Amino acid sequence: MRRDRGDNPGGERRVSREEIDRLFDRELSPETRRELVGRLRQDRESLDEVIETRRLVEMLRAPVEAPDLTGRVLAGVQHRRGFLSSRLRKRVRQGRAAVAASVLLGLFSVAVAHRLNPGLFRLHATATPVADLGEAVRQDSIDGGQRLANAVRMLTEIESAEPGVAAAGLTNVLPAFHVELNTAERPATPRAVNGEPPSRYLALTTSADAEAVALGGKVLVMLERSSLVSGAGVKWDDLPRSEVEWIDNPSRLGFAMIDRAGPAQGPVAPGVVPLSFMPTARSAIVGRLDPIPLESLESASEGHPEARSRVSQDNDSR
Amino acid sequence: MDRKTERNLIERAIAGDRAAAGEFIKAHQASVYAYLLRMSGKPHLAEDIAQEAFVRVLSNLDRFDFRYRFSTWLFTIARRLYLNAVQKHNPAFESAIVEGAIGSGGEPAAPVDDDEARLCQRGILQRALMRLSNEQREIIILFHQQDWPIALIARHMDMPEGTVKSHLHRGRRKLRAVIAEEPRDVDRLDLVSLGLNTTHSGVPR
Repeated sequence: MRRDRGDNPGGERRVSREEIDRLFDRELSPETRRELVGRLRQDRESLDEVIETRRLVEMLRAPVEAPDLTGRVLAGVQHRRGFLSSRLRKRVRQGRAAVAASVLLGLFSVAVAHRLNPGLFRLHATATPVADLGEAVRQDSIDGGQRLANAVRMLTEIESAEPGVAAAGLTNVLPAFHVELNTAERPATPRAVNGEPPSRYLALTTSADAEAVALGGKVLVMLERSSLVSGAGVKWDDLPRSEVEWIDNPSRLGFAMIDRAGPAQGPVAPGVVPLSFMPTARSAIVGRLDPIPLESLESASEGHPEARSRVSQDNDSR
Repeated sequence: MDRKTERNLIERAIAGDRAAAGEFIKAHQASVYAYLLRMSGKPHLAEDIAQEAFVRVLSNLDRFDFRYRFSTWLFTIARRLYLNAVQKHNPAFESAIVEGAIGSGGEPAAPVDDDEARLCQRGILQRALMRLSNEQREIIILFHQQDWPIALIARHMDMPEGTVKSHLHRGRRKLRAVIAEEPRDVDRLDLVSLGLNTTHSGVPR
């Protein structure tokens, strides 16, 4: 610890710590510094302190060997932003601002749209209470039945227009089709004559299971996209009921589709009305007629399937 | 580098002149590195921070306010990066530096030649610096190594000038005391040169 500098027995004023601080704070004028140095010669302790501090400052000011960072820094700048001219940089900045503004505008639009129509962006259906499910099924059933009725009505109208002749009106939509109601007790299988195996047909049934699926509007869809070939002289054989494949869609009732129908796979179940078939694709649509009065279907088919067998125009003949 | 040259270089660098940017780096890298090395005691850390500081400064040159000195801006960014690094590595950072600076605890060997003596002296200084508080260390480095005036240091560190001086005085005494504990071969300085050669730069470079 330094001793008090105010009690110098020699009488000469000793150098205070504040003066030493001011010396190293660069606050003394050259004259004051010279005067201070003169006094330091008389004050050994202060002199030692000054010398040590001076040595310390010299050490602090000693040059440090610094690595050359130029290459790395320039590469870093190039990588981060590039050396663009101020004009280009301004454009980049404006571009960024435009993108940011677009994003904000988009978010704002989404927010507004969501506020106006909260369900607009919902990705999943709203949860339905179980109590509503029965009503929904009933409504679907009615809708499915209505579609089925419409399909049958159309077919009936066409069939009724010119019995025994290809339904010209329907062939605008359906290249070819065959309608027949199977009211026999045993299943029937469509079989083509002339060695051409019928493999695709549309069938309506009065005996489908209650769980059977109604394809509804799909009846027409199926027919529209089918390139149906006539199967003149179709003969219906027995079809094991196990071969009938019902589409599992509980929301619709009345129709089912058979993909493996045909000679190799066996006949359609009893009550099935084969509507059409083609040699290549193999499928059938079977409808449940609960929503439709049986009489309407029977009036469309007028009795036994073999007596009512109708074959439409052959696609190949077109 | 005078202000006119500095301004000219900045304008060229803003216009996309790589050479001007390179001149900037060459002009300031030694002082920034020395500042960071003395602050951290870790050469690799000082190098990394100095590099990052230059990259940031040069990437944002168009925002530079010509009323200020470029070096002040550069040191401000370097200081911020250094403080971030300290905070990121705390508390291991400080203790690791101090441990590294103090070494294994053995007495340093007697210097054999000038280079070794210089290295030994640097080691002593760095160990002593690391025993100061962050504020004391930074103020001493900026004042004595970088020749910054008190007023500029006060602005840079956002503290009153009186506080800066107080840190400076206390730090210098502590540094002296720590170094005095080290075994050394004291070269007595010539008193006349001491009195006349004390610098009065007073302004930042």
